[in-house]
Amino acid sequence: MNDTIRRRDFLRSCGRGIMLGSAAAVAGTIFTRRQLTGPCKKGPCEACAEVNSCANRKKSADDKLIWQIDPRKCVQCGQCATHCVLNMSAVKCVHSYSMCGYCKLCFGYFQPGANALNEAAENQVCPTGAINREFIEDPYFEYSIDETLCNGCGKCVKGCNTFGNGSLHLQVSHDLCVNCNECAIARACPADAFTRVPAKKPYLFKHELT
Amino acid sequence: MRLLPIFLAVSRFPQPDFEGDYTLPTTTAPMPAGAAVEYLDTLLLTLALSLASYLILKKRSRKMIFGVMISSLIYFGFWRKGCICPVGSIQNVAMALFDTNYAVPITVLSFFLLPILFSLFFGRTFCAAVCPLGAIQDVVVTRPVKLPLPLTKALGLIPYLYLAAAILMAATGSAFIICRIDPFVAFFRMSGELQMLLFGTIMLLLGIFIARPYCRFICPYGVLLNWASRFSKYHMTITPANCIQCKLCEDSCPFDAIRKPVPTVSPETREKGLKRLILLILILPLIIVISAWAGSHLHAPFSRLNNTVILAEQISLEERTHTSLSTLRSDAFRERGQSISDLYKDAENIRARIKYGCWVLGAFLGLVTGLKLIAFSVRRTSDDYEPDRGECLSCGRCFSYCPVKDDEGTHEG
Amino acid sequence: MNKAYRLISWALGISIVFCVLLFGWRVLLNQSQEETHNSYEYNIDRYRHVDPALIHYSELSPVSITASILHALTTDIDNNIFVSADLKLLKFNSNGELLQSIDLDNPCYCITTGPGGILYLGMGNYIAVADASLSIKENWGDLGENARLTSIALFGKHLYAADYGQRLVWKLSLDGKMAGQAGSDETLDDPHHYVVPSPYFDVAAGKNSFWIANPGRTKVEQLDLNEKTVTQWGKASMNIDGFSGCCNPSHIAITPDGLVVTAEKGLPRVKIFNAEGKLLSVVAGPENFEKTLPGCYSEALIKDLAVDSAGRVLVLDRSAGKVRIFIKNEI
Repeated sequence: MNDTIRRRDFLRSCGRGIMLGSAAAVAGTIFTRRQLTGPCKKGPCEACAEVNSCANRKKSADDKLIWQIDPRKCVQCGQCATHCVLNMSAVKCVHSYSMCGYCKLCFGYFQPGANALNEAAENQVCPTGAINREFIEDPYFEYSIDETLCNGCGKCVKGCNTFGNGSLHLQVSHDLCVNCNECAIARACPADAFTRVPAKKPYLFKHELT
Repeated sequence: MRLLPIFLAVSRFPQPDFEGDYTLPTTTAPMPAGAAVEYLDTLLLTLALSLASYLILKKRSRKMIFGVMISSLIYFGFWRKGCICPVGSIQNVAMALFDTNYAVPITVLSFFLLPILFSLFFGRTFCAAVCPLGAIQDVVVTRPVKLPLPLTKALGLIPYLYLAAAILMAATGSAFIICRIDPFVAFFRMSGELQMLLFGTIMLLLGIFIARPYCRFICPYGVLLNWASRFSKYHMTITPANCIQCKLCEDSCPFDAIRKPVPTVSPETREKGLKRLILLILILPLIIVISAWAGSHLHAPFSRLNNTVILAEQISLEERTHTSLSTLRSDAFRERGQSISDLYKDAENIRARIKYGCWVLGAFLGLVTGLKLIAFSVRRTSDDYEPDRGECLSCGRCFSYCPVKDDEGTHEG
Repeated sequence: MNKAYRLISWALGISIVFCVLLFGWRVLLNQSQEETHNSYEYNIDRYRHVDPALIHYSELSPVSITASILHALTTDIDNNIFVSADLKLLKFNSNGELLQSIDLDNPCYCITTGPGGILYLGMGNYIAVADASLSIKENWGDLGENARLTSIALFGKHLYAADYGQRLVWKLSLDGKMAGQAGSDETLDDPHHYVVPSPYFDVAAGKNSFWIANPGRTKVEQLDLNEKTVTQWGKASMNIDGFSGCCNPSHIAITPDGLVVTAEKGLPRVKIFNAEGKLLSVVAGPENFEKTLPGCYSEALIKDLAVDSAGRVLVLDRSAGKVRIFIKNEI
C-alpha cells in the first residue's frame, strides 16, 4: 500500500509539474506577444483609421480595456439603444462643439420638414427630447445633449451626418457601462464599430480623429 | 496611400466667428473607473483563495467556509457584477494566444491563473468559497438527490465540449459563448435578456435537487480545476487524522464526490479486467478518429457565430436571390463599398480555421470519452473514504459527519 | 420507493441535458438572427421623389475619373472639361477624351478659366496661375493662415475667391494684387453676413452677373459690377423649390442665358432658377444619385458644378467617380 501511495504521489508531482509548465508557457507566450513595436510615424494610434488592423500597434501593458465606438465606422443603425444589457443604454450622443456649424436650422435637432423652428416635440428629431437648443447670437445656436434623456438611438447623429457637419456622434458613456467581457451591442453592430480601448484614453471623439 | 496631409476632423470645420464673449464648450465625458479597482480585485481574489484554502485544509470549519462563500457572492457577484470572472477569462486567454491584435490585461490573466494555481496546491478551494457562480448555487442546495452513476458520467462530458467550443470560438475571434450563455450574470447585474434569466432561474430551481448543476455538469473552467486538483499537493480530507471506515460520511456529500474504500481483491478475474482494459486502449485511437470526423461536421453552425461569416452568407443570399429583405449588417457593408470577393475570401479563411478547430475539438472529445471509459476499467484500491480529487469541491460539508478527532482531540486539522 | 426515486433522479438528470441544449443552442442561434429594421430610422425617402414634369434635362454619357478623391470641376470657352482630383489636374475635351494630365504639389480645391486659356487654381490658402499648357506660372501669396478657398470666379476685371475659413469673398486683380473684399457696404459692415457652417462656399460669374451663395442663410445673392446687391433670394425647404438641409446650396453655376444652377448636399439635387429666384426646372433629383451615406464627415455627393458655353450642366459626382453631363431636352 505504501508503495502505491508513493507511486501516486510521484505521478501527482509529475502532473503538477506539467500543469505548472503549461501555465508558465501560456503566460510567457502572452507576455512576449505584448512586446510589439510602438506606433509608426503616422501619428498617435487612436487617430489613425487603420488602428485595428495595424501590425505595428503597440499592445502596451494596458491595465484595463473598455469598449468604445469608432464614430468613423458607425452607421447609426439604432441597435445601441436596444441591445445594451442595461435598461437605459450606456451609449449616449456626444457633441464635438469645435466641429459644429451652430446653424439656426440644425438637422440634428429639427425633423426634415419641421413646421416651425421651435422646440415643439413634433419638430424635433430626438424621440426623447434630449437636445437643448440655446440662442447665442445671430445666427448661431448652441445644441447640447442632456445625457439623462438620451437613449443612444442615433437619429440626431444620422441627421447631422446627412445634412450638417457630423459633429454629433455616439459614444459609450463610462459612468454607466458595466464593461461586459463581450459587449452585447458590439456583437450586434453591423459596421463592427466597437473596439476595445485603454481605460486611460476611453473616448474616440470625432474632433480628435482624422 | 494617403494623398492629402492628415487633417484632424476639426480642422475641416473652422469655428463660427462669435462676436460676444461666448466660449466654445469642451466636449467632456465621464472617465471610467481606473485600473486600480481591477488590481484590488486581484488582491482580494488572492486573499479569498488563501483564506478559503486555510479554512478548508487547516481550520476545517464549514461555517467559516460558508461565510467566505457568502462574502465572495456579495463582492465578486453582486458588487462587481460577476464580470470579469475566471470562467470567462478562458476566452480572453484563448483569444490572446491566437489573435495577435488582442492583448489581455494582466489582471484578467491573473484571474485565469490564480484559481488554477491554488487548485494545483490546495484542491478546488476556489469552487468552495470564492466563485460567485458556485456560491449562488450552493445557497439553494436543500434537498440534494443522488444521481445514477452512468448519468453523472455522461453529463460529465458536457464541460469538456463547452470548454473546447469556448476556446475555439474565442481563438477565432468569433464569439465569447461563455458570456452569452452564462446563467447567473443576469442576476448579478440585475438586468439581462429573458433567455438568460430563464436559464438562470431553471438552474437555480434544479439546483434545489441536483446540487450545483452548473458546477458539476456545465462549467468549462471546472475542467481545468478538475485536472489541477487531481495533481494537487495538498487536498482536503474527510477525516482530520485517519479514516476508521465507520461509513458515517457515505451520504454526506450532495455532489457524490466521496469514494468508498475499494478492496484489493476484485470481484472479477484479473484476466477479464486486463482484456477489457487492453481492448479499450486499442480502440482509443479509433474513438478519437471517429469523434474528430464527427466534430468536423460542426463547423457550419460554429462558423455562423462569426460576424464576418454571417455577413458573407447574407450578401451571398442577396446576390443569388435578389431578395429585397436586407439586414442592417448587409446594408452597412454595401455602404462601406468594400469588395464582395474580399469578403468571401475572408469568410472562407475563417471557415477553414474553424473547420480545422472542429477536427481538434472532435479529437479532444474522443480522447476524453476514451480515457473516461478506460478509467472505468482501471481499479484503484484504497482503504479509506476519500473525496474524489477531481470532483470534490472542497465545500467541507462532510467534516461534521466524521467522528474522528485529531491528536489535539478536536475535529479540526 | 427506490424505483420512484431512481426515476425522479433520471428525470432530473435528463432535464439538465435538455436545459443545456435548449438554452445553449437557442441563445447562440438567436444571436445569428440579424436585424432587418432600424427602430429609430431617420427616413427622408419621401423627399427623394421629384415630379417628372419638372425634370427638363437628360443625361449624356459621363466622363469617368480614375482617382480616389475628386475636388473641383470647370469648363472653358471651348467646352473643354478641367477636373482636379487627388494631386492631379486633368483636361478633357468636350467629348470626354483625356487630353492632358499634370501633377500638382498640393491639392487644388477650385478652378476657373480665364481668357487665353489661363487657369486660376485655388490651392488651399493661395492661388496658383497656370497657362494654356497647364504648367504653373505663378503662385500668389497666401490669403491668411485660416484661409480655405472653396471657389474661384472671374468677373469683370477681377478674380473673386470665396474663403470658407474667413467667411468672406476676396477680390483680387488679375496680377494677384489684393483689391479688398467683395460685397456691398451693408454686407461688409456685418461680419456675420456670409454664414458658412460647412466647407461649401461657392461663387459664380455669368456674362453680366456675379453670384455668391450664402449657405447658412440658404440664400444666393447677386452683385453687380459696382458691388451693389442686386437681389437675394432663397428659402429653406425640403420641397423642390427650396434649399434642403441647413447649409445649401453647396454649389452654384450660371448658364449662358444668365439662369442660376444650384446643387445641394444632403438631398443631392441640381436645379435651375431664373435670376429672380423662380424655379424653372430640375436637372437631376435625388433619385439620380446614389442613396449612400455621405461618409462620417458629411462630405457632399456633388463635389462641384459647372455649365459650359453650350448650356450643358456638368456635375462632379463623388460616389459615381464621374463627371456627369446633362443636356436640356428639346421641347
